[in-house]
Amino acid sequence: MKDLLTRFRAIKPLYWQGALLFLATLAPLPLGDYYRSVLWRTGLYVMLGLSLNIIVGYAGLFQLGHAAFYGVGAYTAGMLNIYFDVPLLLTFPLSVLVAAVLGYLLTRPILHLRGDYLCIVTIAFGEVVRLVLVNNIFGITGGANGLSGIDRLVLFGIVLRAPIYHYYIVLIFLIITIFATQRLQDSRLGRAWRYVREDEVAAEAMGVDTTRVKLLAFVLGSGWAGLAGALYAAKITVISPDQAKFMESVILFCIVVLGGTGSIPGAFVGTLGMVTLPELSRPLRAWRDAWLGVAMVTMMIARPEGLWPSRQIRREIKSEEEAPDPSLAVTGRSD
Amino acid sequence: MALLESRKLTKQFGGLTAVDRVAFELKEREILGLIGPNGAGKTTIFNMITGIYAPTEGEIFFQGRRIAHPPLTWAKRLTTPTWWMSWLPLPAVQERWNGFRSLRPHEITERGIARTFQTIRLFNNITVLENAMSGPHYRTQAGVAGAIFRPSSQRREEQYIVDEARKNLGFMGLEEYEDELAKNLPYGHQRRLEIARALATNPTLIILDEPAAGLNEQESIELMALIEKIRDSGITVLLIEHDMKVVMGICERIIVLDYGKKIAEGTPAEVQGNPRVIEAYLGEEEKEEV
Amino acid sequence: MQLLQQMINGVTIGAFYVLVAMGYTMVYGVLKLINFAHGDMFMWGAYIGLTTLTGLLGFFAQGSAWLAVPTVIAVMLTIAAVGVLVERIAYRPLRESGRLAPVISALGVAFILQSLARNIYGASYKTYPRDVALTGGFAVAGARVSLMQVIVLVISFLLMAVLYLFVQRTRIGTAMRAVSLNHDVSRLMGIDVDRIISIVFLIGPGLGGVAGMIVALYYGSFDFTVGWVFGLKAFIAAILGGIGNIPGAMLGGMLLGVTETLGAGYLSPQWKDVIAYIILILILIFRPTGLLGERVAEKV
Repeated sequence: MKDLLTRFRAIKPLYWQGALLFLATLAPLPLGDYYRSVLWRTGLYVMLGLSLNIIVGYAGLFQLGHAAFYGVGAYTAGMLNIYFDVPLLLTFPLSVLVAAVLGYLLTRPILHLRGDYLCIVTIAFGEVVRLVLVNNIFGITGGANGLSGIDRLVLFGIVLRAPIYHYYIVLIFLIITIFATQRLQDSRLGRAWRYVREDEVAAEAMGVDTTRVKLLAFVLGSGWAGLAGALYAAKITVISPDQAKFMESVILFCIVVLGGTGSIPGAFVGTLGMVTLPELSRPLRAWRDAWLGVAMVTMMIARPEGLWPSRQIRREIKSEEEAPDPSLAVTGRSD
Repeated sequence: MALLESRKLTKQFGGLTAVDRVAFELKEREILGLIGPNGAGKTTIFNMITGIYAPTEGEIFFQGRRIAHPPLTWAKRLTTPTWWMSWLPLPAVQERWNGFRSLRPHEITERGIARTFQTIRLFNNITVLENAMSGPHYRTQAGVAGAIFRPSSQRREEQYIVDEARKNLGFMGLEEYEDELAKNLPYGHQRRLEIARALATNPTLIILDEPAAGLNEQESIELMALIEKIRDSGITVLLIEHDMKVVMGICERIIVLDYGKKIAEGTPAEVQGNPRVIEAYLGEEEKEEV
Repeated sequence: MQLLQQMINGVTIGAFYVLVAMGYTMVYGVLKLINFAHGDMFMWGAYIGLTTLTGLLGFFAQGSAWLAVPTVIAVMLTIAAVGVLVERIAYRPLRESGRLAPVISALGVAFILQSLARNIYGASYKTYPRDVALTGGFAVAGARVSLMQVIVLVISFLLMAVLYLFVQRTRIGTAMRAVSLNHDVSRLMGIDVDRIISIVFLIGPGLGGVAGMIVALYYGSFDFTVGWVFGLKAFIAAILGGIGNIPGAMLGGMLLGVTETLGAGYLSPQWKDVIAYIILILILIFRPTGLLGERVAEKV
């Protein structure tokens, strides 16, 4: 088995990545519309997972309200299209922008919070966004049932109705997302995130503007989620506050943490487990919450770094297991 | 002109006065030692210099510019026009505002002060080289766009970062460990890595917090040579240390603290003979029985 | 008198929040864990109460408010057992695993409990048999106080007082406070930390379950989602008062109940929940240790 793995690793990444891409392009063709939609949904959630990965995996910040930005992106696209007749394609960059700006505004005041407190505030923010959408603020968000009647996306004169078109659109954006997040991880910014993750005080002492770096992670992740929201609006043409509900945020969080924190394949694994599997299995759907719950409890006990974590995260968890952190505040002798 | 000076520097934690109106001066290119029993306030002073705490009273100046200042009360903030304007991204306004507040640690590093920590705070799960690469971070620019598109300017910058990191690792004798994870280094090398990492920020002043802690005799002697080498390369050194051999061996001047107050200052010889210093460390001398 | 009526209602809701908040705060105190599953224990209390009550009614064929007594006992025991079980299975293995893993595990338990409730009992609203509830009330200075409210308040305050005395005056209570400060030192002092934590999980969820039953009885109907929002609000109350601090939970619960009711009454009922969340956010930003908590700083 190990031999197989070493031989596998030796193959140039370009080859198997190319093979995967090839498979991904061909996958929907023999399938019916229902399964094509499942593929679309999988791709969308992998994208969302990767966007959250920047915040949780790279920068190490707990964000349990991520779905709020997904919802905001969808609503931006939807509302611009319904009220102002903006063609859907043009709404995409605006969705990103609005979600990113909201991400900035919401996280700027809470960056100094420690782990579990940050967790709670993000939950609260997520719920506030959802409630604002439900309560039909200023009468424009359509209330608990949301808004419908979004135009179909029109590309090169073709009206894109069938799921397969949306799958390919998501696939393209997904590839861009993978490329971008990979590059981010391996850059000065990625290193800065690692430093902040490892030891925020030391990072700050080394000249890293930790506030800016953390904010950047949130803004990038949120904007990306906004893009996913716009893509959702383009296919489903109906948007509702349920997109921003806490359960969605938890699913996204689980995709990242249970699938494998900090890694790109981890997002795939997580999505397959949290989204695709329940979609395909009827009994699982009825017990979806329990499935999620069991997965969360068992993974935390058995394999907290996730099924396919990035190398760094695995190192971190291993060293925590060997020598548990005495406290998250490192203390020195009094002086 | 003094490189670093403090005036009436005071820090109170609730009812406890950790640092009590300490005034000192640090001249360029000297090696100054800060000693005193545990609890004397030494690391607290370091933390105020490097921006982790703001002083309760008093100020600190570096190269003539104020870097630490007690936090403004809300009343003062509302009545200071500069505060109202501080959100403006104009350099002139920002410069004025900086005079009213304590700088954040990363700004202190940008100004040219680097530090090590009393308990080692390395980035444990990444390599030695990556640890050192944190030094040039603030001097470089590449951001999101640079990361994603990798223009040639970004690639040159990455090379610069790696080269600078290697240079400083070499200075501290750690080149061969560059691909090791920081947590896997032996203790003495970890201490050196902390110093190398601090040096990679290109400081004018480096503050070492008990660099000899846990080192054996041989390692301490090597450390002393390294510190002198650092000073000879043009960097001023401020040092907290308990190991008296190291202190007396390389410090040109020493300041002694006890219960937050400065009780003595002078050359090693002067300080060693000072009765107040002896008393602080050993307790009062017993009256001789005649 | 509108204001007085709002205040009375607010205090009643506040009392409910306090009962649940105390459970949160106790668990946080000894484990530094935010037990997200607590709200669902509250919810299960409502269901177990319903089942028990329906069973008893079937047995006795005649309703009476006194049936509530054995029901409360049944609920308390069952939910307490659930609490201890959950601690053993989902939290104990993670004691040394940092702060994130237990929180995720707690969320997981919450989902499992919710899913179980939904699949076992169905997704529709359930109502408590009306003959058990007390009707009638009286007027006070122009406001109406129902008999239910009075009883509920009396019971709640009694429970609060008992718990407070327990923690402050008994040996076990003192042991709990020791464990909440430092596990290792407590062990050195001869305290069986595991046992104390189990006891905390008996009392906390037990109280929460009882609160669930009382609330369901008071409002008449509920469904499986009642635990989530209520739990979150109670949690906000605990944080408001200073998490880990029982008097804090009492203060926080009352404050939240009153503020929320007044806000809903004078501003708009829709925004009731938003108000609660905004309170939470503001507290965590400006005074994370809560109103009665101590300030703790990190040492470098």
